[in-house]
Amino acid sequence: MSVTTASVSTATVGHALKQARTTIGLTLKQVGKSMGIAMSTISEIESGNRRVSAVELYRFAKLYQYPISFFLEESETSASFAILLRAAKTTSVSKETIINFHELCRSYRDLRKLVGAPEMPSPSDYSTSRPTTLGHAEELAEAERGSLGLNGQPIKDICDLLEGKRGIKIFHLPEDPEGFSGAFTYDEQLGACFLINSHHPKRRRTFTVAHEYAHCIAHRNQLALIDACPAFEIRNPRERFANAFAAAFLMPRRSVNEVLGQLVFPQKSTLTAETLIHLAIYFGVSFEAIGWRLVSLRRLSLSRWEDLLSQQVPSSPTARLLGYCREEEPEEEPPDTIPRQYKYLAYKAYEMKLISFEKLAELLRRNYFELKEELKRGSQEGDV
Amino acid sequence: MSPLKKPVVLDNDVISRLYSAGALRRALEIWPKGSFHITERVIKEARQWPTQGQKLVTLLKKLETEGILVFISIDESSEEEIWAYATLQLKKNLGRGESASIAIACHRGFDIATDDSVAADTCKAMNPSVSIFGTGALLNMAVQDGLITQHEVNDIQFKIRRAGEA
Repeated sequence: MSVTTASVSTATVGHALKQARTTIGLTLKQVGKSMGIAMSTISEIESGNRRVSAVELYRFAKLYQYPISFFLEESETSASFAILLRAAKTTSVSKETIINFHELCRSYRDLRKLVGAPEMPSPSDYSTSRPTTLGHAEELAEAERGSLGLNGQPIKDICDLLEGKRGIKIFHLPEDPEGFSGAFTYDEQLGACFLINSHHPKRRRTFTVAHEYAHCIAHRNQLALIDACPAFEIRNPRERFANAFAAAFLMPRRSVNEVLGQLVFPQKSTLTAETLIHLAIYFGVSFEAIGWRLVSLRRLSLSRWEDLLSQQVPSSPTARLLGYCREEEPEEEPPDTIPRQYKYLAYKAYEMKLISFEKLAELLRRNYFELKEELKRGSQEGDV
Repeated sequence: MSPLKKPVVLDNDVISRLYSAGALRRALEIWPKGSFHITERVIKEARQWPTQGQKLVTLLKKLETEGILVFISIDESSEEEIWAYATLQLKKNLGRGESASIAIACHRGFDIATDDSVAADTCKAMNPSVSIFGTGALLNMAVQDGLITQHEVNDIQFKIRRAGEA
């Protein structure tokens, strides 16, 4: 395969250039000034009426900070990511993060193809039946848990579960913890993809993944959504639905009642802070998430919950004694940007001599020398 | 006279192998000045290596100052070189540094030193006239030309193996 100016359609290049320019929010005038090209020329290039030279393309790629290959591939533009990028303008999530996320999702798809991995099943799509009520959310969560074979057990690792059984691509990237929780996109070519804020603590991220999963199966027709730190008491019906689904998915009614039955004696006595802490640890969710879940299940009165909320329970010595680490505590390991299966596929591609070591490092978003050092250390220690 | 007929672009893994054996300077300084080139990408990657990046970059810069290494990058005015780079990137099997090294070697008539078989095969397919050497071959050529003793090369290769780079 050899690329020449003649072998790539001017429309493909033009469309990709326009998408990249609008994505990073530059005007034709700004680009023209920066590259020393007339605005009309850029406009002609973007509309596919003028062939772009390699030298020009290289300069565009540098200015837009996109890999040059992005502009040369057919069908690389994605409606769902374009929606995400537009939505990013009204939230605190950066365009660079969305572009990076898009790049990772494309790499994931390419890796599957490269190593010949089988197609993953797609998550169900209930968006046409328009589930809206909190009752629907509860039913849907129950049904999804059933089809995932969870049987009331707490979910050990929601990312592994949804990646392995639903083929969802879940990446963690750092963003402003105050302004962004997660995002979902659905794309014919890339499938379902979630972006989760790695600056959030694990329990929070778990809830966000379940929340995005609700969007993915119930609001798929929206193609892309950004969640800017929704509170549990959020008013937006779509977000309320996603929160209710996430709560029911992570803390199924029957399991909550069963565990409560083992913890609360005598029966019907008032729930204590310690009980909530124990439940939060058991289900792998935050103190807030279990509290609101118990309120919605009518196992905890709102006034009692507000009372517990005001007591700063998660930071108490008792909570620590019971094994509940405060979310802000630094001992929690930050999550990997890259999901487990993606890593496996990348390593497999390297092992099969389909990609070079440098490409492996790039795909894993790792420094070449550091990765080499790490693998050498592993092999010296008897690792394979 | 140098056994190298053309300048050689050194890839990341040759640098990594020699550096981990503590033999980067020795393996390069024995050749005539200007024999070896590295792309800016190698320096960028080295700079971001948390544990030893600073030391490696200092050494690379020193070697450049002494004329032992030449820093190069894609010629932004060369249609052919840029298209070669884009072609390699579209294959999606090589990193950006390797793609740049091969594109440059193919269009400036240089040779390549790499130990990565994927990079070597891709380079061969793109331009069969580019000679490709591994670290071992480079050292052996130096022995044959009397630039270094066999004993010293054995020592370097032992250190490479000990560092887990073989």
